[in-house]
Amino acid sequence: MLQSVTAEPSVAIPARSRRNWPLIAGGAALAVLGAAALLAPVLAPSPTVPDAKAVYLPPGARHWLGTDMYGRDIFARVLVGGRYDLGIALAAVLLAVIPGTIIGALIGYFGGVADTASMRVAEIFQAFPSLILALLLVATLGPGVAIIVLVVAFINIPIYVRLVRATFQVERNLEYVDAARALGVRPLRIVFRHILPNALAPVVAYLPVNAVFSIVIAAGLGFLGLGLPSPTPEWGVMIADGTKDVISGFWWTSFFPGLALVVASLAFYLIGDGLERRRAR
Amino acid sequence: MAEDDVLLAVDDLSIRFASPHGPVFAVNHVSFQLRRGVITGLLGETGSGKSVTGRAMLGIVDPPGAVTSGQVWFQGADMLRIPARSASRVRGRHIAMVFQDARAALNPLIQVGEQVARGARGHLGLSRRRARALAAEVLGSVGIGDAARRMAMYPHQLSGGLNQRVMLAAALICGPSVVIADEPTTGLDVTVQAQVMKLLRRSIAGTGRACLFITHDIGVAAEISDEIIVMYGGMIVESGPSGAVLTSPRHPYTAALLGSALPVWSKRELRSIPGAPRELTEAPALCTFLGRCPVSVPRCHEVMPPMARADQAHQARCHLVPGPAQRVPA
Amino acid sequence: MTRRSRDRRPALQFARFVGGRLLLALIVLWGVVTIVFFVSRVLPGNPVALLSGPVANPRTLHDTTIRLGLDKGIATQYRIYLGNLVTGNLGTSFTTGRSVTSDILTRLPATLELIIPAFVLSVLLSVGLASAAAVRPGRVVDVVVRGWTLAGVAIPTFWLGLLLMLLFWRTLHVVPAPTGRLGILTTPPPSVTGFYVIDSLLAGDLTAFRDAVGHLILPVACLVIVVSAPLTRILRASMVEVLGSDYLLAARALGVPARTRLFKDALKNATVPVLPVWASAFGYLIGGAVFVETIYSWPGIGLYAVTAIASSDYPAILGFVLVATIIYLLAFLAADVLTHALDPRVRLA
Repeated sequence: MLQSVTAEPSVAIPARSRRNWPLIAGGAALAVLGAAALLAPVLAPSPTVPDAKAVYLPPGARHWLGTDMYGRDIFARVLVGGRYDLGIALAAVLLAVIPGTIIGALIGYFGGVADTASMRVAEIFQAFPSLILALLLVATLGPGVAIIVLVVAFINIPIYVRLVRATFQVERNLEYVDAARALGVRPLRIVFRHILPNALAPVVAYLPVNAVFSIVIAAGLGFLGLGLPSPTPEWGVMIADGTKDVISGFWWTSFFPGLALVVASLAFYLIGDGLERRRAR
Repeated sequence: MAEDDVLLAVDDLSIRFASPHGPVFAVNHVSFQLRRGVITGLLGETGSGKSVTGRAMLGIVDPPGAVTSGQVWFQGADMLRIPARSASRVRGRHIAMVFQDARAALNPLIQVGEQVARGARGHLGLSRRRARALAAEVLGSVGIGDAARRMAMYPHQLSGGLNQRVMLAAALICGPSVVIADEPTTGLDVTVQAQVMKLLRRSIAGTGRACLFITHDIGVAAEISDEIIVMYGGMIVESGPSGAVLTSPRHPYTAALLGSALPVWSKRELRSIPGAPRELTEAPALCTFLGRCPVSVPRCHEVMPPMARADQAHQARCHLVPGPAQRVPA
Repeated sequence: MTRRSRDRRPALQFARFVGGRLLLALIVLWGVVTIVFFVSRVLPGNPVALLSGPVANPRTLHDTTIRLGLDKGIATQYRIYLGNLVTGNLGTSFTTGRSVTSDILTRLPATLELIIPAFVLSVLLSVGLASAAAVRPGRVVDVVVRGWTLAGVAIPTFWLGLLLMLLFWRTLHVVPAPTGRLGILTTPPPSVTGFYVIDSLLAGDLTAFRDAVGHLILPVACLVIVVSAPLTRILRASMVEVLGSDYLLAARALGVPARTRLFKDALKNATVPVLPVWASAFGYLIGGAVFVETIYSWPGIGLYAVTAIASSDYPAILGFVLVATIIYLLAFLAADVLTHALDPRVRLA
């Protein structure tokens, strides 16, 4: 292999395109999905109504994505399913971010017994594979949207706690904190008004990743039969129902809900990537 | 100066970097020679192009940088144009490099003895045992006591000075004829600095090796170099025997550099060169020091000064040469 | 002890380290077990009903209450619970009627036969792809690999399993039907290790061997695709960092040939910090196995858990959770020990 001879620098660093493509693409995809989910009752009026005459129709003009074993329109069900999956994921993330950040801030700044104890407990919970822990909790507490949201949020909290705690442990040694203390600012105020704004960047960066994780676990739980009962058009449940259909060759009943999941995950992931690009500028 | 004293010759070397803001002309038409038994100091600020020049001599300039012109002659071949395999046979064996941060330059997961012996096994074809024996010897010769035990250690277990010696041992083990030292004393305590410089001088003198000592520290350059090359803006602005260059500098930049260096007992205030070095985004057409130079003349705004001879072996790239030596700001 | 004598007995030091880590693992295990206790006894509204099953009559309810001490205080319950665990008693399954322990032990080899090859292949694949991409940054290989790792993150395991089945079995007919570990008409080989692939070879039964391997392809491929995506992404990042490091440049300056630099310096230095990620990949695999076993009717502990969920077989679910977590813990322990063995900075701090 010949060494590069004198030449123009062969690999120029490509000038990053001005537009933040990942953010745009991800944002657009999410907007579409979100709008579809919100408008679902208008766009697709009857997702749970069976139609014995239209059983197992492949994708076509009347039923864009086909029908399932009971003759229900898949397109409608996928749209409505968005409300569950997207809703659960977003709710779980929100419910985790706020307490997680607060706890992380407090133990990161004050340290002490609470800190050690929390970290030990978090370590123990970390010993469970996430899906297995979710499985255990939902199996114990029973089905229902609220339970799933709470369980997924619960699993997400330690991540935010650790993230914020780490930042606070660094920040509390910085001079602006000393300055605030010297001025007599009360500790809680220092934590929340002074340090917290600086600690939010990694949290914001992690939100999209957490969203992907949450939606995958929620759908996974649905698939396993742990989340919501069967007529509910949640994407995971739909895929589970569609498993037996694949064996008979009816692929569309599980393909499209799964595709929706992939698109949603990609959308969140791209948003995360886009946000990171903006930060790097 | 006899011709066969020249071990390595750099001829009209230019290096350009690609950056998101456009090309950066890091090195421009640099030529110099390394002679047997001579320590040549390459002196320049950060961004003067000195480090990348050193890399080019080994042929390891990586993208986004690329050599755009010039040759590096060693043993009749151009290091920039020979096939990669031949080049890596030369590196470490005939031309060796010593880096600035020794601990970073050593693999943290491999024992130091092994890292020193590697060169002997690969380049000299020695068996494992003989290579290790040789490594122990070389480690001893660079001043590492109890070499046999130290060889089994890892870089993080050794001090900065010891790591520096290990790196030197790894560079010297195959008996190279040219040693390039890239800021090997930067970041070390003054006492350790002195030790390393003494070590280097001992390894060069009497062995007939040539050495290029790259640094930004005038004091270090003054102490160790036999000859000095001063770089600014990617070009050589002055070169010659270190005594001559440092006592009667011919280039305003060199004079200003010397003026900014204070002896410890001095009571006068620090003097810096006004302005700041800037990256060259175009190939230089005029003197690169123009704009910061206190003694520029109208001709400086018209044409690039050629390398002019001030004295035997002492030259400077300035329109004011030949002429009297520059005043070093007192 | 002085450093000298410590250097001279690395085996002893290693044993001490492993012992220490094992102790830590046991403590964590105790924590895990306690959490499971808390979740199963304290959290539910009606632990008796949960633990007796959906079709329990008053007599069963009463028996369960006595057996597990559910009418006594928490401390007694905990004692009984721990006592049971230590003797390996995980309760009785409602669906099979047998002890959960024996249920799980019977099905464990099937799951391991999925997970272990999936893990090995994922590691090999990720090392290969990460190296290829890291060595040629910005070129086609790198872009393709990065795109693929992105896709791998977004694709749910269960959907992928169905897709693969659709494509390779239903459409292309290159793999056998998803009837579990073997075709319906194939007799399993006599059990030696519990792994059909090995046992069939040991018995010289080539038909069974080919059948077993054929049935392994899709589920293992599904797991490998999903798990190797994040592994590749992280390993590639690690490799890029190592390849850009000073010591790699120094090695190049010393004339160390490119191949040696890649395999001896870069690979080793890049994988050591990534070992804990490999351990958590094992966690992914266990979760993934639950999905994959469901789709492919694979009779391992994952399918067992899913069936238990469908029939509210709570003791079986608990047993599964414990076993899965223990496997996960062992993976992390192994990663810890390996890191210690391979990274002198950890070993000789």
